[in-house]
Amino acid sequence: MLRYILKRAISLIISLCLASIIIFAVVEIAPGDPASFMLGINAQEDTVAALRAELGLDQDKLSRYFTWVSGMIQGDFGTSYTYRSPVAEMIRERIWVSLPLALYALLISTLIAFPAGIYAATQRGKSGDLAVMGATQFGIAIPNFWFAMILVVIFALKLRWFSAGGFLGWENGIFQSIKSLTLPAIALALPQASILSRVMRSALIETLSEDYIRTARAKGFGKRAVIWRHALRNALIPVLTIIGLQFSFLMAGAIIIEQVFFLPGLGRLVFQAITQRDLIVVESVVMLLVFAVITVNFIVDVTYAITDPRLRRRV
Amino acid sequence: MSILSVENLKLKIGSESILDNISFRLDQGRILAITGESGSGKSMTALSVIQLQPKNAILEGEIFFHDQEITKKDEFELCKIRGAKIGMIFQEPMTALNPVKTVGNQISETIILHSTKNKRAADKETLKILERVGLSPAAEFKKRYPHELSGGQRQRVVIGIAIALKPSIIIADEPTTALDVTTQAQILALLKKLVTEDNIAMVLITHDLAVVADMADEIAVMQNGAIVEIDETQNLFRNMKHQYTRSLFAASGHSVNLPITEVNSNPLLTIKNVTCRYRLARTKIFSKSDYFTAVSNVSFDIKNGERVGLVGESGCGKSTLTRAILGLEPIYNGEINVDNQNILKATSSTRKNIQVVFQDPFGSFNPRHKVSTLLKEPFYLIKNSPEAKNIENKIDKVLEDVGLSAKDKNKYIHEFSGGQRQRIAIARALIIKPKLVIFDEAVSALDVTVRAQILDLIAELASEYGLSYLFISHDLSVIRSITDRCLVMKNGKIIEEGSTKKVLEQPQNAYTQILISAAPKLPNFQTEL
Amino acid sequence: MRSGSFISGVLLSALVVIAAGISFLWVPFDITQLSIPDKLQTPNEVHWLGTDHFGRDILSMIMIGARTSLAVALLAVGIGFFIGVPLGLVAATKKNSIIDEIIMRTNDLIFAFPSLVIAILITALFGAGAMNAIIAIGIFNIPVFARVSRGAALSLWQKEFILAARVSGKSDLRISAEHIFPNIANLLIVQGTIQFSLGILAEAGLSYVGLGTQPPIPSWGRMLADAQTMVSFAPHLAIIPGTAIIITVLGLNLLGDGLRDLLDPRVRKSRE
Repeated sequence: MLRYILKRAISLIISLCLASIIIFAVVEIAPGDPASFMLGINAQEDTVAALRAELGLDQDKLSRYFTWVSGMIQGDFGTSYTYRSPVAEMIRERIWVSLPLALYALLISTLIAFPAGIYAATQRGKSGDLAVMGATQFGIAIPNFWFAMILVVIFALKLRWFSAGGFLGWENGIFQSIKSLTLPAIALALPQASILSRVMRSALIETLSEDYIRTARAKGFGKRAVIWRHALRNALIPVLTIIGLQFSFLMAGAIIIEQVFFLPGLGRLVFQAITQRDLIVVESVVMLLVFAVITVNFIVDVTYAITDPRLRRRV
Repeated sequence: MSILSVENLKLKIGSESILDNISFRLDQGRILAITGESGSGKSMTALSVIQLQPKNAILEGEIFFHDQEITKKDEFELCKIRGAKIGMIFQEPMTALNPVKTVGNQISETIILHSTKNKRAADKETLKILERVGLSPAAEFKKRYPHELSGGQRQRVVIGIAIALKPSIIIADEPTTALDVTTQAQILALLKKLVTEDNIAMVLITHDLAVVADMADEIAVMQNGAIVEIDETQNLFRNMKHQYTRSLFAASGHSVNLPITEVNSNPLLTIKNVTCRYRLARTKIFSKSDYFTAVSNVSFDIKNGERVGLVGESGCGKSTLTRAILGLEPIYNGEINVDNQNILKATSSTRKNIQVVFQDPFGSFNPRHKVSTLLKEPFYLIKNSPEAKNIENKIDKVLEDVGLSAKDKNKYIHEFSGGQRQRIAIARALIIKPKLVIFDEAVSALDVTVRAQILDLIAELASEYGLSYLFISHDLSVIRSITDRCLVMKNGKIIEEGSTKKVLEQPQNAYTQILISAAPKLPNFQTEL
Repeated sequence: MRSGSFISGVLLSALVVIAAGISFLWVPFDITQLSIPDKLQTPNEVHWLGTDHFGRDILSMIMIGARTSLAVALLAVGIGFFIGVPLGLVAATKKNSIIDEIIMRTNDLIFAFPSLVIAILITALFGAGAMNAIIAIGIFNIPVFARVSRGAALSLWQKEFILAARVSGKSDLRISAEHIFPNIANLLIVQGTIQFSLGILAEAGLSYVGLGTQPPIPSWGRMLADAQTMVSFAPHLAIIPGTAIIITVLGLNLLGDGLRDLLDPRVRKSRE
């Protein structure tokens, strides 16, 4: 078990290193010099050069990469080119919108998907199953940002239950904050819940056809008891993988949804930074997202090992 | 009053009739064997008794357990009978246990489900059961997961679950089919001991007549969903009334008429000190790699005209050796020569002299190709030689030689039965006229009557085509009937070698002796009369 | 029910493909012609689906938008297919070798990137536009196809008919082309339809944030972005392009599901 975790941890670190190199390289080869962009087209050559020196852009690529990475490890993400304030601080402010939003959506998605998937699996082929599966087909096909717009029209503009967007900050009331994240979270969760319930259903159906389920039935377990005592835990393995992957979709999806609801999250930050060529911000936020995704997948792998004894002691 | 009586049981799936008028009775402490070939409906009969037949099956007739009509019971009542009053053992021990629960847990949950015992009492009971099924030290085995046990040990756990609550009936569906012959003997002995001790009645379902003869008090023979004959074991074997029973019995003890061949002194295949090994996953991250030696220092020859058998249990290294001979496996040490050329460097005109027939009649062919395309494949080796001319005529000829018709070449493989597919596999091996064919468990997946036909065909074609062959099998009766000389393999080594008759009748090596005594034998009641 | 999902999938997808096809020859109105007096009409007998804030005919824009969506998604799937499948097949042939490790670890790495974020990054840094959108979406299709084909190929390599082909002296490359690929083609077609529908959604998302197809070429995502400020008084501007996306994605998914059931020998057998 320990060896397995160690092995995963090493590959986690390698992935992170490679990811940082790729991100740095992509940003490096992108056209457009931040310094001349910030100063406008009419800037003097020497002013641009001075700014480049100030931003550290005149150093060679390798040392800039290492400065960036070693800074990040110590929690120093550098200084924003445009705002001249520490990137870490900007991220810290925004992440308290994006992360809760993604987790909120994940929660909603799981709360819908588990019962729906289990129900559909037990009703396999019957009308209940068909209804759930039909609904999920639609859920997958609906673009979340469009769904978000429709939610705004109905619940914010017509019914006035929620505000159409914006976020006042956690210090202005937790309930208020959760309320303003609710519509975005629902919009994000809908397609994910649809995918997850389909995975839950097919994993459960697959498991229920296994021989050991027949053994359990022959022991005298009823149909329901078999699901709870034997099938569910085994079916959870593929479901966990998908939940892990969904976290990455949700973090990324949050970026677009933040546009719809005018939420001051990481997505908005990245967008502004891209349009202003604030590359250090772009690099750092993307790296942070990749870090989150890779770490979540690592946690999923470790959870596997706990769920599945075959992995636990594998040589 | 019989403990179990099945009356006029009929079962249909859709419009297809699976079981037709099945009736039998079972008394306390007796063993009834249901035997028949695949598709005869024997497993479906077993599942019907505990009402676990497929959902879409339509059942008619009556099943009485004591005086209770099982088919009229609801799910709740059935759950109280299953596991507690009627235990069940399945064929495939590798998949019959839940991989994420310990074996102790899987036994004790049965006890908790059906009794008022608490967890601790159930755990104590579990230890006793594990000891009874021969998994000792029980405290150690209790904590293990299924993947940490061998096939035989898993089957012992499944048996433990079945006997946990001292049921009145156990239904065992091919309980030893997936196991090696030595393990099979142990498991059968264990089953017999347990049912006798607890006075349990057992329904034993098996395709193997030899197993049946050893175990059962009474035998039912099934064909196409119906019981064609049912009688006390001795009576049945002495006096087989139905034609099908007789043909089944004849096929099980089938001896092939091996034509006499001339053995040439030229070695066709020489295997010199061959060792094959695999790298195992490292146990520690920085430790040196460990190796598993699958084939260890094996040497033997096959001369022109020889018919050699290689016998061994699963994991003995026979598959690795087969692949090495075919040139598909890297050899760590030693040398394999065909016609005095190293197989790994041999020219294609030499390589063509070795062909192979595999076990699985379903996986041996690309499902997307027609038979003619499948039979053309071996010509790829000699695509530029004159032998590769008139391929169409050769296809027609070889199909007729293996007992099919030339018209069959335009069909796809799924249109054929298992036995026919094996004929096509033989045709594919013979079409480029090799000198040596390797039969890798080539009849193991076939029913006995088909197996007898294929063995006859192999013997006949070998003399017609002037073939030598290496027949690899776990089944001693097959080796006995089709080879002149045989090798016994264990843990990657050849441990005994000699003429088939001598090895099987006067085995020298202790393992060979065990192997031979473990193999179930057909009784010979006729001569006893 | 199974053939039902296949037929409805075919019908819905055909509707979109035909609309896109016709748009090459004819559209109801010229959408390069702005006509402010006709702006923001709700659906009526002249403009079947109404007009937008510039008075352009929405039906015409939807038809041309279909063309854009399909083209971008199809090309992106093509990139994934033509790079991913060979990589997966090679990885399967060289199982557990260094090449396999490199291919699969690279795939894992690409998988770990939040795809939309990277697509946004690429299109933002290298310029917004259809071409960069195709590349950005396509990159994330590569590991999908590589994984699917490697997994399916690996189980085929265990089959005895592959051993038989090797005994006949065929090279790994020839076996991959002759035996492996035809036997996994069904699976890849099904995966292809799923990726195709995901591509439609991704293109819409990128265009919505202004990084995909650029004006004046109409695209559904762009139309939704324009609609956002007017959604309270002209909801049809948002509903119609959204419905177009849903119909396309739904159609492709149903088609994929239907194909999977039709082509899966296990399902086919149980139905016979």
